[in-house]
Amino acid sequence: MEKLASCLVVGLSTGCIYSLVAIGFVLIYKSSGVLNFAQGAILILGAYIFYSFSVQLGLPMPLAIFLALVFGALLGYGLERFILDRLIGQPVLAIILLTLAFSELLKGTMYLAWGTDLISAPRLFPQGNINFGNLATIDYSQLAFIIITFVLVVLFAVFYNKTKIGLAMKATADDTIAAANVGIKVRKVFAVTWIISCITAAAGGILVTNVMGIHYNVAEIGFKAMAVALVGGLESLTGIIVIGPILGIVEFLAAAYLDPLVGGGMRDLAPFIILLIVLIVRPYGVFGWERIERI
Amino acid sequence: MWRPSGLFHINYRQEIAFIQTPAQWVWLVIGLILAYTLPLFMPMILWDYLIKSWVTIAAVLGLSILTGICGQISLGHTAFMAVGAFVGAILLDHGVPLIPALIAAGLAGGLVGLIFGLPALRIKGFYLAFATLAAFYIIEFALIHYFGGEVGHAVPPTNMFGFNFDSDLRIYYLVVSVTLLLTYCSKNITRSKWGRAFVAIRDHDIAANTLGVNIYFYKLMAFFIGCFYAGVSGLLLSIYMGWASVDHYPLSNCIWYLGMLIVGGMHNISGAYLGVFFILGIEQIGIAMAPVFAEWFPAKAGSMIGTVPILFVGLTLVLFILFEPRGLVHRWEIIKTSFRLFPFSH
Amino acid sequence: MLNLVNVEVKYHEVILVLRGVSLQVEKGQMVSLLGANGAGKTTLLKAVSGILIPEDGRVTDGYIEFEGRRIDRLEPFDVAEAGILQVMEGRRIFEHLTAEENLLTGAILHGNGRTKQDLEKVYAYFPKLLQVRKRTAGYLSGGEQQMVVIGRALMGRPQMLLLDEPSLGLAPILIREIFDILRNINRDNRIGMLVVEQNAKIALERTQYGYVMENGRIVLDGPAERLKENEDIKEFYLGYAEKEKKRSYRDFKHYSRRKRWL
Repeated sequence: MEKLASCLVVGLSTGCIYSLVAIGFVLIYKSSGVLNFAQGAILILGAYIFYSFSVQLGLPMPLAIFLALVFGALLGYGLERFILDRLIGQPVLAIILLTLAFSELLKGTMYLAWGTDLISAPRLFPQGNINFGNLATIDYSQLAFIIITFVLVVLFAVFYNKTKIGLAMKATADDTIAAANVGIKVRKVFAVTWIISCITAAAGGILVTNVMGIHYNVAEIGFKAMAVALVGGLESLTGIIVIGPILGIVEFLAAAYLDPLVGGGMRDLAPFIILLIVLIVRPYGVFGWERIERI
Repeated sequence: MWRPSGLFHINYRQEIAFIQTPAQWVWLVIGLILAYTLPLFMPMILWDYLIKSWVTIAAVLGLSILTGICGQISLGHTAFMAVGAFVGAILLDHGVPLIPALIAAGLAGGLVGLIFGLPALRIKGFYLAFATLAAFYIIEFALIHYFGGEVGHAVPPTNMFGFNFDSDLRIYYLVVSVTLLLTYCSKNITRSKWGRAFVAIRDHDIAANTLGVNIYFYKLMAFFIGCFYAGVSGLLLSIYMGWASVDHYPLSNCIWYLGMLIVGGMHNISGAYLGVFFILGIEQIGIAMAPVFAEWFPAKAGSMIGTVPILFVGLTLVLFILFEPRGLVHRWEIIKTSFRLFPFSH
Repeated sequence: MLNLVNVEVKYHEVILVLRGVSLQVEKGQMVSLLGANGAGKTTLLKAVSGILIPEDGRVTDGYIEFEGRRIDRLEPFDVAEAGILQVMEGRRIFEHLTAEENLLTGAILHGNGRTKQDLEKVYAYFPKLLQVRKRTAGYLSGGEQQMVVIGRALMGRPQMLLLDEPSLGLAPILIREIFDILRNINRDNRIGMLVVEQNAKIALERTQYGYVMENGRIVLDGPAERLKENEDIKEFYLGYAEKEKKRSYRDFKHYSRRKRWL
């Protein structure tokens, strides 16, 4: 029983991080149709930058976090300005490949700058946990993940559904050229999108490496976040918020109960198996929009 | 396809022939001779590059059929190579002769590819790419846990009709022969009814469906063929390395292979050749430059050899996608055309 | 007033599509632009609204002015801000948004408070939209979609509308209805309109002035009344033929020789 409870807690909090990163991914996709496979690399880059500012340069933690997020924003703006322009209208493969290649490039740069050893991140949240009787305990950091994600998601939902920029983002996502025609500043929409997305990725990276340590392999969380986005449906915010924690919980349950049977590794595999099943059964995700394709 | 004026096609056979002019016969013969004698001109340290290139060409040819011509994006290609390598290694270990082992490796890769290509019947584009990524992880997991993957299998020395492939040079001949054969098959596929069906599916699969092309069958066949090539290529690589292990087939290679397709030119076979030689060449340059970088950053000298090639290749890929997304083949066509039309520009 | 002077447009730097086109649309005037497929009509509209660049097209000679200001190198957003909005060929609706959200996207341009009144004005012109406003736009019928995109353009408070084949794929009775509404919009708000049309009959009936394009050039222009009576127009765009004469091939060639007056 305790095992189940601890799986739930850990899965819930990790899943929240997946949702956070997935939001950024989906944002970029919804507005510009670009699939940012480099989301994971940006995530871990944010963590490395935070580490640089706080440990290597000795700056106070809030400042280091702020600077890492600013760096994320600048990176997002830079990517939009110099790379995205050329990607609009290109076939899907070119877009996927560009972001993939870019992530490999980032990987090389990170190896160069910070080496390939696991670095432990400066602790963000106090030690200790809350006990719910004998049933479950939740770490302060896990609690923080959940709360921070919740707040950010609510903020974002309000922004997306109730503001003009949100509507502009939705329109641009549907038909970029028609949006330009209607008088929407498409470049501005893209810039906002990428900036938000990179900030959420960096934030997610800073949070998650607090628990997992800083190493390039953590970038694989990017793929898991993408899986969350796909299972939830690439156009649906609700989908991501719901599916993230669910997938997180499933992942840890699978690790706890199935690992002994298959010899380990289920934690990384479970999201992908679920993804495949969902893609076959409901191709556009549980909450996704169907492609309206008329010939 | 450009032909000099005065050369007309008067029947279908002529139109689809590979060699259209006598000059092309000459180039073909020269090319074949060059392919087989290349290692004799090159210093021995480059033989690794040559063998790896030909093996990669075999794999990328498969990807070219699957992704370039049929438009089904596959991010899991190296997993199917690994499948072929393992199956082949196990068979060779049990004394199966080389050619059946190669064919079996291909079939294994193709069948697994077919199974994991089933999602293609319902999804496309990015969703499919991700499904193939999932396939990669699942296959890798299965190989590691059920087939002894991380440690891998030793591949016994192979021979064909008594001709022992025991030196690098001989392995080179094996690899080149197999790849040339596969190239011939690819060209045949693309000029046949299947090739046309693939292109139709790539361009607009729903419209192809309404015109009577059985897109379900052809999509699965594209996966089968593409992964067949991957399986054969995987076994060839393992024969060369002497060892079949999951480490030889990492995820980043999938990215590089797709990159080679784009750099070379996605829509035709020569693109695979150009892309592979070019990208692997850049990687070699990166390896050669690693010591230079190590001097500039002495603190990180140890990791240079692993990271500099990645940086070079990644940068090349990014630049190509930004500035020449149609690849080297396109650029070559433009160069040829500008020479032909000189002094006019178009 | 919209003024195109000797505009030349090339795609991919080599494909010459517009060969020195000159055209004017006065304030509040409805002008139609006729011509067969491939004449360059859509390209002309795109040159005005600035959407050439994503398609690798450039205005390589001549200039385009609106109300005295040059607009031929502007981004689509700036052209929209200047007061010209385009209703694109094939409708280009935002499929996944509802009809009303589509209209609201048109209001993003002029973000200030009169959105609600603008919305009501659009519904007044297109009462049918009031019924379907909460439906996903991708599933609306062709006619409803056309109304949505015209309404969307209206929400941007344009001074001039560029309409690219508004009758494309619509039933004749609906075409009449939409053109009537367009005429009302034009009369009530003094919004100039440049209408590209294949359906020459309805275009010449409902607009005041007409231009005919062929192969990237304007070959004929004049008040719509006069164009309707023009023999060549009647034969090639309106489908009338002289009844008694039997046409032989030579007559066609004779015609095309005559047309090369430029």
